[in-house]
Amino acid sequence: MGIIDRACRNHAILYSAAIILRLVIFTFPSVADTFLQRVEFSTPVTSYKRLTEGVYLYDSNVPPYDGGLFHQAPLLLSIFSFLTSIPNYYTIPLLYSLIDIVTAHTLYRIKQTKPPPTPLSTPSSDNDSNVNNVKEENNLTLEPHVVAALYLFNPFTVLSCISRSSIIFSNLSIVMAILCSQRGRQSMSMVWIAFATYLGLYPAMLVVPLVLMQPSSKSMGMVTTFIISVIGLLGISRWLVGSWDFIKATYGVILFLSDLTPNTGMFWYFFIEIFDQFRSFFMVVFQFHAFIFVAPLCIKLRHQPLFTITALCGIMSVFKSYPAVGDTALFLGLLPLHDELFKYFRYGFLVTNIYLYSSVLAPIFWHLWLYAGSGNANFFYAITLVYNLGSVLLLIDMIFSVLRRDYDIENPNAIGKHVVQK
Amino acid sequence: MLGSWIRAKLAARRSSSQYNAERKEKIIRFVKRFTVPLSILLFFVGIAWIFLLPYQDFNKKTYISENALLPGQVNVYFGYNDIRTAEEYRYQLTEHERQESETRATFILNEFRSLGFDSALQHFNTSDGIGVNAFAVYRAPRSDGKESLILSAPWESRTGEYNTNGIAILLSLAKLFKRNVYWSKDIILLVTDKGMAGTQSWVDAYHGTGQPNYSFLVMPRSGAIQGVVNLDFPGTQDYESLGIFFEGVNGQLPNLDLINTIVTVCTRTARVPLTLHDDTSHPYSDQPWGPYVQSLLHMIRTMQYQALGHPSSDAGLYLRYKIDAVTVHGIRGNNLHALFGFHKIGILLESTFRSLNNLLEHFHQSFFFYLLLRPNRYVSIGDYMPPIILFASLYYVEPSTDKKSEKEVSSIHATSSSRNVASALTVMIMTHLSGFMIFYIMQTRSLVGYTGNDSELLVVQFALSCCIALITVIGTIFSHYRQHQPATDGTTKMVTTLNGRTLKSFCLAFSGLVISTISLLNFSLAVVTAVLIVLPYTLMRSSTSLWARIFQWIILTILSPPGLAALTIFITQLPLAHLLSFLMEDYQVVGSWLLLYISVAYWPVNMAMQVLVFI
Repeated sequence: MGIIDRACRNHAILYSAAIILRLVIFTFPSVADTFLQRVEFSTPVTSYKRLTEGVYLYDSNVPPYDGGLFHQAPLLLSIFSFLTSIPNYYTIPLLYSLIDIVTAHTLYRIKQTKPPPTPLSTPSSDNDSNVNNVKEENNLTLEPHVVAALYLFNPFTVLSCISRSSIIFSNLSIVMAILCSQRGRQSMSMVWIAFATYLGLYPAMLVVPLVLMQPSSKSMGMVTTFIISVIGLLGISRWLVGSWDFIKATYGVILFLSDLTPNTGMFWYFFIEIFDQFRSFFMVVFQFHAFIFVAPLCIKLRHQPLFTITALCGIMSVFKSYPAVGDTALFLGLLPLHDELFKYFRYGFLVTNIYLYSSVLAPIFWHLWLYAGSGNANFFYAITLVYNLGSVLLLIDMIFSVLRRDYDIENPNAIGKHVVQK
Repeated sequence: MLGSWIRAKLAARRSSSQYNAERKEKIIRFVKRFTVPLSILLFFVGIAWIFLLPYQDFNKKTYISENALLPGQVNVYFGYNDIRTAEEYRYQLTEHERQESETRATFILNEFRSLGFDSALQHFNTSDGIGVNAFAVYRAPRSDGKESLILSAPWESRTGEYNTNGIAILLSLAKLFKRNVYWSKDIILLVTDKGMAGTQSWVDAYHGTGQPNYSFLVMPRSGAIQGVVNLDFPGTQDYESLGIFFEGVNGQLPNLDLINTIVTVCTRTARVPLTLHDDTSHPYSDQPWGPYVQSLLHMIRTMQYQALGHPSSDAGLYLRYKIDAVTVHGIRGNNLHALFGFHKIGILLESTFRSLNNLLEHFHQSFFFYLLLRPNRYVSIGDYMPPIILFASLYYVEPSTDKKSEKEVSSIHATSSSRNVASALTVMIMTHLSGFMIFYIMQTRSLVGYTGNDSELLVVQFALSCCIALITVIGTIFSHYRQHQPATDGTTKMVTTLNGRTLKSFCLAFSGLVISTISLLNFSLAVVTAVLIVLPYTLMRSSTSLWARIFQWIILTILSPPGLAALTIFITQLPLAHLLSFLMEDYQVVGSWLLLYISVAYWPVNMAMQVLVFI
């Protein structure tokens, strides 16, 4: 393990290993194309296949948003219109791999610049077990390079990159926004989060914790910057595609779920089954549900905005209308930033197994539903529920851990003891 | 009343939560102490469960689930004239069937054309020459061409004889079908050549997915195929009973309603003795356990087909395309009274097709996951899954308790334990990579720098795969020794044993994952895997004693694919090349996943376990 450890420390080796791994998988076009079409990785609003179709329409001067097929932001359209004109197969794979590397490096910087967590104070009556606890805490901290490696070599990240899902751009923007905010560059942070919002709408909820990261005097200015950036991006888009149609085709689809292609989320099956007269009501309930968590989390954990962002990313990956594995990859990438909580985690084994089982069973159930014909849509939906249950358990565990740790900081005597709230 | 009771219970539980934590600890300690006996007990409970399934009280009677089918409720018109027609065709076929593929297919084509069907030939390449399928599409007067049924018959029967009666009855029925106007689905009549390769290439061509030869662009087609009955009536004599073959590729099964329809028609309309597969023996029929033994034998036969992923008949190939299909096979036993011939076969098929014609939508009502014990008894998925869940959960007894013990240690050796996880993970990744390499080597049709005939090439490929597996195991073992000894000179032993336990947890957790997930695709394969590996892998320990190591290594080698191949060769006396070509043919022609499963899921765990023994 020594070799691997040393290799991880060296950025060049770590990052080139990650790039090589991705490019090697990309050299098998059949594998890359399989993942390109998997519903777990590419949703209607992030699919690369749809992006290329949109680019083709855009290049042929056909309005890309008219056909009801393309639901991605106009800026992506113009960027990819340029990129696909480069006649080399490896342009796009290299771009996606590099974005993953940049994201990983940003995570590395976030971990580096993250203020050290409040240490657990040893209680007055110190005995062996508590000494051990403190020692363990020192032992269990993760080095920044491990955080980067955990993101880069997470199978979810790798496969999401291989699928060329455009979720990678919003992941990058979110991570960049966090870094900028942590280093005190408020306006840059807001521009990044505005870009993420522009791409996927849901990251708008991260504005609140990002504002909480800064002194309260800056709040108004930051929110204004955010709004101006979003309006600016929309204006550029209007200028690029020449009409406001894209608003309905992108944010309209995200909000009103007009495309019911299966994905890893909860929405599609529910809104296939629901009677039309209840549809609008439940649509409001579901979308409101996704955003409502901002309030309690930001109130309760206002002193730990980074943790709140992580939790909100987890919530987004479960409750947004078109989630994909890429969202969970970001969530799992942000998780190691909070290594001080790891010893409080109770469901690690369970969550690992849920993720493992659901990622094996999802393609199997998909096969049984669509190819073997011996299953049906319930099979696949059931496994997405299990997968989301895994994410939710992890979220519960995280929030329990952070609350318990806060409690332990306030009450050093309770460390290692069973606490019941009555 | 009830509310207050529940509230009281909840309050009691809440107040005793401290106590519960202690009890949980106690349970874990208990499980940890009795891991081995518990594993063995659970294993045998699972096995006993499987053996209970054929017992009359643990399975159910089949029933028609799709009401639209109305099996056996029509008047049949297959009469004396049709029997005469079939007999004439039989006479002609005995002359033509020995001819070359092209000539005999042309004969069928001409017959179809003279009956007025839209018909064609399909040429395809196989390893032994060009084959020719002949087929015709009957455009039913009341159909819109969106749905169709298939009546098919291969030239050669599964018994090795010519399928003379089968093709004769097919042609005679074609004439009958043409005569009547009540068909609401098109009927495709298909005579296939060269066994499974012919059926496979026809289905591929029909759906436009086969090898790119452009004849399939213009072949006559109808709509989506709703049901297939494949005829296998060898020779020219009469039959004692009718056998049903239903197992498809990778253990897939047709909807139970299709089988139910045929069974109902057989018992009500045609009155033909019925059995599963080609089994006509009635062991211990004078004993009370006779039915049990027969059901058990049928179940084992089905599981054998499923586990190998090999379709039991040509009909099994349609299942991959979401088409329900069965083969009806005429069995000629020793019993010479009460034989049946063209009349009953004709009635049976006509009535069955009339039922299939009634289908309003694709077969979906009845079961897709079942075990058939006799033509009218089945076990559904809810009853046969528990043993597999038991086998898989048995693998979690150890990892989960191991993890607890690790937690105790982790306060002292936190970093070393996380290192152990990483190194165990590396071992698993290495063995899986070599598994993928083995798969790649086995499935290529030509190896660089080697030219030889097919079977020799296969043996070389297999030998190469074994070498790769061996190198992986040895390489992994040595790389770990090299890493651990200098790093921890005082506590070498401790670090390695911990490593072994983590690795074992990984192996077991992965096997549990494989068994429980594969059981959804192919129950029998999961059972076979579980029976092979559950006990040995649970009982394996990394040990320092030389004899224990050698003993465990021998067991693992027997369980590894080369060992199993050697065992099979020893039992069946087949040459290795034959065995391998069977496997490869299944992979290439039929599209079976057994090769992939062995090389990517089964073998890597075996390699990792071998590493474990020597660590």
